[in-house]
Amino acid sequence: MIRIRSALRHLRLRLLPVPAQALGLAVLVVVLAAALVSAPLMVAGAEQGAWEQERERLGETVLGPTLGTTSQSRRQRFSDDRIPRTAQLDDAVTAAARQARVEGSGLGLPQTLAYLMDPLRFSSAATTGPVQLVHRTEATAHVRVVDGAVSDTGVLIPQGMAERAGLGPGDRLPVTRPGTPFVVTLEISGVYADLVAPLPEFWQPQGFLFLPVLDERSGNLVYPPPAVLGSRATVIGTAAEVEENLFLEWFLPPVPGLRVDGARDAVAAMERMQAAIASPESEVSALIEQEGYQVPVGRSALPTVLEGVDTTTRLLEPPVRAVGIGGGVAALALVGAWAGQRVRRREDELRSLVTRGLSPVRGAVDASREALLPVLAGLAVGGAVGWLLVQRLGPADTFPPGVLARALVVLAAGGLAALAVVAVVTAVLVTRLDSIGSGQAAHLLGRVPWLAVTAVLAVVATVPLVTAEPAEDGGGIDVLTLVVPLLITVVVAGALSAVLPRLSAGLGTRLRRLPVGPFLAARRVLAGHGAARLVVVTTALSLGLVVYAGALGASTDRTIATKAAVATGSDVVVPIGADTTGADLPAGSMVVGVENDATLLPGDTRINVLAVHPEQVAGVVRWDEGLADRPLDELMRALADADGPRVPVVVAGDVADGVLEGTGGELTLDFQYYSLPAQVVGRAEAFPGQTSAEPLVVADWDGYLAAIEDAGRDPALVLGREVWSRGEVPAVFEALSAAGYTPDPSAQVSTAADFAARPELAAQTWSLDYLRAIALAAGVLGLVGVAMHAVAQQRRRTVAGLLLRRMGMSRRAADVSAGLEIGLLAGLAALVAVAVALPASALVLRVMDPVPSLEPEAVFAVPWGSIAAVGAGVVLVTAAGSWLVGRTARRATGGQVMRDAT
Amino acid sequence: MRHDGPPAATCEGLVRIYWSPSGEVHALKGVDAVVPAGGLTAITGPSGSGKSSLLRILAAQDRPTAGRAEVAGHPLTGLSARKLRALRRRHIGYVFARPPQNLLPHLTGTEHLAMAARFRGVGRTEARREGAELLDLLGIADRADHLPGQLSGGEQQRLAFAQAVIGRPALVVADEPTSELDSTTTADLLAAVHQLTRTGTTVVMATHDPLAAGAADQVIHLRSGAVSHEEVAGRRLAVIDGDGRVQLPEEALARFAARRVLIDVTDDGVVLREPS
Repeated sequence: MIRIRSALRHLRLRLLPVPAQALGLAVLVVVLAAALVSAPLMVAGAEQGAWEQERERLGETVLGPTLGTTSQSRRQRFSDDRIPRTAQLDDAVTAAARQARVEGSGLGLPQTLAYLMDPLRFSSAATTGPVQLVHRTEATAHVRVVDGAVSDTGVLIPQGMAERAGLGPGDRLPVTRPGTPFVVTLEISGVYADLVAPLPEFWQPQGFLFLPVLDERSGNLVYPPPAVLGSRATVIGTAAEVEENLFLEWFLPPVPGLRVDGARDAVAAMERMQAAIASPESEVSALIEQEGYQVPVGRSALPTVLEGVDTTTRLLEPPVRAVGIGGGVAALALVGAWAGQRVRRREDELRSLVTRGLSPVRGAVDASREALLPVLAGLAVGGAVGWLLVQRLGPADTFPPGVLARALVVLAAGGLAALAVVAVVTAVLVTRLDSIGSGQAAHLLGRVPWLAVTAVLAVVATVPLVTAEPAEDGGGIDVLTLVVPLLITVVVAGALSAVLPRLSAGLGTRLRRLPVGPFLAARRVLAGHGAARLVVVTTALSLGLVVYAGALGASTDRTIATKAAVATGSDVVVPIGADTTGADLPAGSMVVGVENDATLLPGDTRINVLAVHPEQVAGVVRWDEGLADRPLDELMRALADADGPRVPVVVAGDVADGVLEGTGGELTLDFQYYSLPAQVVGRAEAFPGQTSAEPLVVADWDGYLAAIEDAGRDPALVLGREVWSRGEVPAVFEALSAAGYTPDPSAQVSTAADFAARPELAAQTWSLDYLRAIALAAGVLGLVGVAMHAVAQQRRRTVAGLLLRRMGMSRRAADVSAGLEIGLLAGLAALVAVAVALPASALVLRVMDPVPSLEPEAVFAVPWGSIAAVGAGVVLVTAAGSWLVGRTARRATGGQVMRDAT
Repeated sequence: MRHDGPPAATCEGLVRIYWSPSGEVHALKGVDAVVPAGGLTAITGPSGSGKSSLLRILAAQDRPTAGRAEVAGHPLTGLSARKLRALRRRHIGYVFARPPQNLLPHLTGTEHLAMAARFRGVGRTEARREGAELLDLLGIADRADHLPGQLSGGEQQRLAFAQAVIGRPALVVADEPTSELDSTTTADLLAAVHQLTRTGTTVVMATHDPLAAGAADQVIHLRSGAVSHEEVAGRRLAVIDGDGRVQLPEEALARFAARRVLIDVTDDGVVLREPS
């Protein structure tokens, strides 16, 4: 028993001789591990997050691959069986899918869609009209049957058709192919509720079967024939009897909640399936050969979406890696500082061992051995913390497989690096302990003016940033953008702390008038000793990183929001027909007119025109104050109140000032076939609806339409109409329908959310979020460093403190002195941090424009949240540091202090 | 003290110059000294006289800028750092002035001796036996399993000596080992050190303490980086270096204000007289 206890004690002495010291290292390694492991996790999370974002935005039915063909023969001579044999083709395609193992590769088995190439006509006692016959796998499960029931032999007709034709369950529906004698009578088994916009996700790809389309010429909506739903046998059988060809589609539904790796498997499975179909031995090929069907052509949004995901990852990876490595290097530097501190705290012990022949290598091995347990514990905790933080706060809460192995490799490398740093620092310091005085090399290094050298480096590194142009595909964080502000912070903080002693000399008399506590604190800070300088510089660095990251993040958020507002117009933009006579739109919506490809004269500048109701604009667009030199209300009032023969306009974008000054703002909008006189009443850097880099001329609606009519043109024909609205797409569609507007479903609805989902924006947002998280950790460490420095100083000043107390200094004055000293050091650092980080981020922001091709340029935002956090941190560390220093002072007993001091 | 055998350490014309931002500092300016084996040698002198520099060279922690130093038969000049470390490990023990500097707070007395023996390459059994003997000799056998914090200052310094002596090094160097002890404890420690020297251990210590200097077999007094005189068996001896230089005692020096002397060599000795 005694032997076991002795062995355990021996083991503890070898591995963990000073547990408190080991705890400090473990905490640092936690930060190191969290920083290192978060980088690959962030990239992997971004891959999954970008995929989920697109999956959410597009919907799984849009993402699923589709194969399409027809029953029409490619040959001039064709068999009569080609239409009935499409059932065989359907089965053969399903067999090919099974052969390609699509199940288990992120996709389901093909769902068939069959509908007639040309609609048939139906007739009833009440009416007659076109009718489309549709079969889709599981279709009846995705409609609401309002009357009758689903049956294998009967069909479901839409409610509107049932009401117009006076038909219902049990009735018979004769259908005929126009121009032919063929008549087929279908049995109606039920009635389903009409499908209207927005369609359920299941039916979204088949919107053409249910939703009207806009007739470009008339500007009116054309409704498709009512879709009658039937079984495969019914639809194919009817088509065969009336000899009408069929369109056939096979949709392979993605499994719900498909992950990005599953999506990649799905693409591969789709390729396998196409290969299986194209194989000469396949049944599909045999049918194609026999009946002359078109080879089924596949289409899928998956490859494009995955390309976007890859772009996001590609753009995100370098900055995240740079930040992660930067965080890791900073944490390693702190581990090195810990190793240095370990040697200093145990200098007597090491000096004693050195006199007995301890070699630097042996010292390094001993230090590494003692560091092993804390490093392992730190790696485990830090890895878990990094994993959880990225999972909870990162782009996605799941990671693609394989990332765990990468994370473990990074963790292992980080652990080895930490042990190596501890070993190297210890070896160097033991070597120094083993040498008397400093060598000539050390003397030379001591004479180098490091502050001036750093200042020169900072200037040299700043030049490329000042002269750089934003990258075409959007800039991001790189080594330069990280290093420059840090270098400038070091220079400013270093210069400031170097000036402090001179300030002290100047303030000598005034300082002496202060009470004891503040006097001591001021003298200690102004003395600017090496340790205090180091604290100011390192704390300024860490807090500067917080403000810098906050400024970049806030500015990028503002830039993206502004660009989204400018590029999109409002939250949702829906093209509509020329008929704008519906009821009033709800608040937050307005109709605008759009006319592109005009020329602004003089100057021959390509422009686009936007016609607005000025009084509605403020309630609809997302306006940023930086877009113009005056408020939006004022700008719109100028547009509305202008009076005169010319169309009042606001010019947004890059139009030469000379053109406006030379003409007094009287310009001409040239549309090739006609032109309109315009009067500029305001300027803006950019304006919502400016979808390209070309300038946008914003005109008053009434004035502009009147001018078009005066030019002999029909506004309905020359001016495209859009509804701009705030809110979500479904709500906007409902509101539009309620107001009597019928959006064109085939037209591309654009949203600000779609704009924000662009890979370059997602990549930059996520990488800056990551930078903010790492910066926050750095800030916390910096402030903890201030508190630790204060406690270390208190230990060093134990004797002086005791003597001061014995000379009559009150404990309260001592506490005030300690608190003020900490507050002054941290406050000074925070001041430098904010003073440097804000202009530095404004400088860097220009080259970080995520979409430089769109107006406006990157917009700066003051990171009030980060500044407040830094302020709160300074207050907190002052309070906590004072308490710690007071506790340390109270724990020291007078007798022991004086005995140790001899 | 044995004068017949080879000395534990010798110094001839020892010079040590340090470089500092303000210029060169000549700490030792040609020191000649011999540390006989098996005795206690004290090095005394005012602050800045070069005691610590000489001690570090004798402890193989530093190399002379010029001159010759030999410890345990090994010349220090030209030794690499690695060989210096090896020399320290095998042949030199060291005792610092403050007890906490010598001992590790988390090791007991026995563990200190075991670790020191391992450094010196002594086998476990031998180390255990020798350690027990040393603790017994120094009168701290009953404190063997105590941590340094549980020992008095004197006991800590005795343990430090035991740690330095284990493995029988050629030389034990002690830097003011009694500076933190009261006179009674100092006397006890010096008696213990004498016990060690009787077993053949050579101890050289720097000291300001007259009690410690009085207990030494030989006292080397330094002044301004050179040996001003030696005291052996109560007699004060001037030291003549290899070039014939002698440092006069201060009271003799005071008699030659002009710094010029006439030298008469007679059968009885050498007489210095003022030129006038």
